Amino acid sequence: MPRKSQCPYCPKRYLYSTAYNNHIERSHPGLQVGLGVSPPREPDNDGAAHHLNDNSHERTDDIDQLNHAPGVEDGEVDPADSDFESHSSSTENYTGPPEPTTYEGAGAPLYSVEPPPVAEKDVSFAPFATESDFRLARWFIESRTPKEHVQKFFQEGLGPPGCAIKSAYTLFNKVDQMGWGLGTSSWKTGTVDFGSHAADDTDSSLQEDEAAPPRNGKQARFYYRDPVECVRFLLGQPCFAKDMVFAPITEWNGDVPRRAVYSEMHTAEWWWETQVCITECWNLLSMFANDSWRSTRISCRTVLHWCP
Amino acid sequence: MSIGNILSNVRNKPSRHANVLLALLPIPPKMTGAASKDRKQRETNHEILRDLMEEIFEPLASANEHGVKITCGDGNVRLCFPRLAAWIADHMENVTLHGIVQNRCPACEEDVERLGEVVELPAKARDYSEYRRMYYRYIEGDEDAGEELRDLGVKLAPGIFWELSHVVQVDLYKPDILHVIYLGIFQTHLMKWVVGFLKKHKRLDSFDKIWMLLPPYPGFSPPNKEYSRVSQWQGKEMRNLVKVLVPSLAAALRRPNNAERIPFVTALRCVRSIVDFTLMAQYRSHSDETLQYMSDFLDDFHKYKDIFLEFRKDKATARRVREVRKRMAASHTVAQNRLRAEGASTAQRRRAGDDQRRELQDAIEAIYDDELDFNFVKIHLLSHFKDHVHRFGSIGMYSTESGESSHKQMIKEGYRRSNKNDATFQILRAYARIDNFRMHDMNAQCDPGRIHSDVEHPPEELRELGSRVAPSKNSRSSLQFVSRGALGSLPELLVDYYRRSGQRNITAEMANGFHVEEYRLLKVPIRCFQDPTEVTWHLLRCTGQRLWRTSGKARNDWVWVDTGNEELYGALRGCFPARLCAIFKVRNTVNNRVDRLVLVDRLFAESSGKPQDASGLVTVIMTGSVASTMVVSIKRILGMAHLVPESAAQDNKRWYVNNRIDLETFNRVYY
Repeated sequence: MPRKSQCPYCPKRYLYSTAYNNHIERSHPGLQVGLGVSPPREPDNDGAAHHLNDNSHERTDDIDQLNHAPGVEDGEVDPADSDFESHSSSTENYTGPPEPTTYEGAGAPLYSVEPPPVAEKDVSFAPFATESDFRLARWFIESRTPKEHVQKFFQEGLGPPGCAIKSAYTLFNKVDQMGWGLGTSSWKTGTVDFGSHAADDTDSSLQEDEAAPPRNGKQARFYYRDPVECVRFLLGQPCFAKDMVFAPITEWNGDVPRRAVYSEMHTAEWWWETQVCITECWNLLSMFANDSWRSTRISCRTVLHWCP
Repeated sequence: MSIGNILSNVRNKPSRHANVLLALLPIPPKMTGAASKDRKQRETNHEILRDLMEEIFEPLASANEHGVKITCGDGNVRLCFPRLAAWIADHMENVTLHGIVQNRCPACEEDVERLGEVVELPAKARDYSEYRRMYYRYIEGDEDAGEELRDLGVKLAPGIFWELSHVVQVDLYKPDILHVIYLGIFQTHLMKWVVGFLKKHKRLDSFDKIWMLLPPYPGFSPPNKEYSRVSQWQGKEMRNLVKVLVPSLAAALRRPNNAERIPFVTALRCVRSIVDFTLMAQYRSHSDETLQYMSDFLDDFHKYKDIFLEFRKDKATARRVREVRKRMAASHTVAQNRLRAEGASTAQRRRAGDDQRRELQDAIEAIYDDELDFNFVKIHLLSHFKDHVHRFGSIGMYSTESGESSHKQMIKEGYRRSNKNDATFQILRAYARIDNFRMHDMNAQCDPGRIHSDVEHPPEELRELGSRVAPSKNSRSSLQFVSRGALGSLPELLVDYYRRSGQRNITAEMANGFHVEEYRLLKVPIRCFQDPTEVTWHLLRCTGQRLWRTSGKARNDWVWVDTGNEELYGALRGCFPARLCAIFKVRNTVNNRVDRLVLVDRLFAESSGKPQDASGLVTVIMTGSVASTMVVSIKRILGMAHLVPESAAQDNKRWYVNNRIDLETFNRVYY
């Protein structure tokens, strides 16, 4: 019979760490830090004036400021603990469900932009004139109404009074102008010839009226996007911001000695290996550049997660 | 494509649009059928695919070298190094991508002959950069290098990922629950063995009968066909099957005779360990302890799987067995006839016959041992699950399912709506329009300050009653209406309930006068296992005598009732299953309160809740006595229970508690 671990706050005992965690979350809310979200850091307002033009010089500047930024807590992580290797060996007196171990400074922002991207876009219904136009268009798109029926709708004069949209053409045109999703303009296209094997890549932005479909049965068109742009798009969405992690953590369960819990990608070893080792290199570089010791910080590492 | 920075519960929801379509690859022309031409075509296709990948991923190289500054959604700029970490694909796609032969593992160099064995010492992980060097040696005329590559199951062609910088190719492989376990192990292999086993022991009929009697459960729709009549299985149906396989099999294999006992127990253990492995692989968070359980389950599966060896036979082996049987039967008949002619006694002849039977058995088993094995890739891929959790976190988030449903949403639907004439651009545009609005809505709704959308109340408070029954006019008291005359003792049960809840001043007469409203539905919110932010609702129905929709039967669900004392009932951990008899609301006019109560008919755990040895299931029995009915508050109802009847008979009194129905139950009702 495996050993059960007792809840530190009440006499219940649990066989599984997961059941244990559930119990802690349910019965003693607030006593354990939630999954995956490292304590929110204050955006560095001093860095706001900086722009993206000059590269290397600017970067060191930002680091400098980050070091004095008020939001980065120094006392939270024990200095000895911030060394990656020491996690496995460190044992401490059990005082409750342990906090997740984080790597100090990993994923810390360089600086913030002002105003945050969400504020300006939030209220705009561009390119639609009014909110009702916008909502009408949204309804047409989300209900998957075919273009023919949209056209009929406007021909019959069913559009609300004051509606600026007069035809299906204008409606779809405006929808295509919206810049919210990663639109069709981000596609690049090329043609391959399976007959002679010569990949003929033309990096032109996709146009609707581009060359006629390949005549030769062995030729085929392909479409692709710049993965970095895709990453930029996904990272830049405020709607994902609260579900986004930038740094590896190690979560612990309540056993004594504590044991690592593997759940999300950033709690597992690969992320630690990849991000922390790069951060270490970076740290080395900044050391040379500034001729003084800096604690490790910098850099989120985006992880491309690939779906076919 | 998506990024790992987004937590998996968001990333894998197609409705959150966190997957971005990265490329539409060209479709190569059809093969002509002529072997030499096709081989050439295949090589060309491979080269084109490789060129395309290099073209597509070219921007990543410089981003990995120097980093790119990206403005993140929280308004901060970070220096990012995007890195290819996972390529979610099924086995055949992996074979193409990694350039290996079909029956080899993409992650390690395990020998084909050892795929179906317990891996004591794991084989070396594949090192694709080494293969690249060896390949170039081979190109330069080093035949040994080519031979070695062939031995390792690597195709002699430049690999697709070889030239991409910062890609550790072996890390791209991700275990996939859908294709490896559900479709790979269960559908193509294990269920065939199980059916063969049931046929051999003439139990398929009872299995089918039990199959038709499975009760519904949230996320599980009971099958409406006998098992053996289903010809096509979908992924979802396979998932349902795994949920109920162990108890149905246990019910079908109950009461073995002496000769059957050992094979039955072994078969049950084998099936059970792989089902448990499957369930545990779906955990969203693992500790070393759960991982240890996983590898124990896998070891058990390998230990007991030999019971199914004979059902792996193909036609050639079956024919050989038939021939041997025929030949030996002929020679045995000759021998018997000779004995008879020599005037041997019946006992002597019988003894000789027994020897002959044993001889035949041994000969057939020798053939099976010789020719049959478990060396197929999917069974080997299971062994990588555990290490993967250590390195990349839980397995469920790398499932191909989310990719496939995104594909449905982005491409299939777009194609259906297009005019099918040069549809590619129409597909892309249709999705871009939908995506535009969806991203706008999500961004407009999101509030960056909010960390988690927590349920404000604990879900226990949120239970609801629904489907109120209109009271009939001519019943004397509303309480009697609820009991429908069947339970004359309802007032006493109510008094009993009040006594337990500390209201001792209520007598049966008082209770008889209370106003009672009856309901048919009880909604219980259940927190998702290992994900406190999500809640599923269990809709518990209690239709009494009335028929439920078109099922032709009344529906009175099984529920879990919590006693509050975890020490009770062994593995059931202080809960007991019960059948809902009535859901009602009582206006207690004496103490001025309203109680929402249920009347249940409880079941009793056998052998004090100790699970059966072979199946790991707890059995419960219905006593049918008056003492088994009781009134409890709806706060004590934990959710629906899934009980599988032991036999298909009408008067069945024993049920198996199915703890494999979902992860919550699996984690709670365990031993």
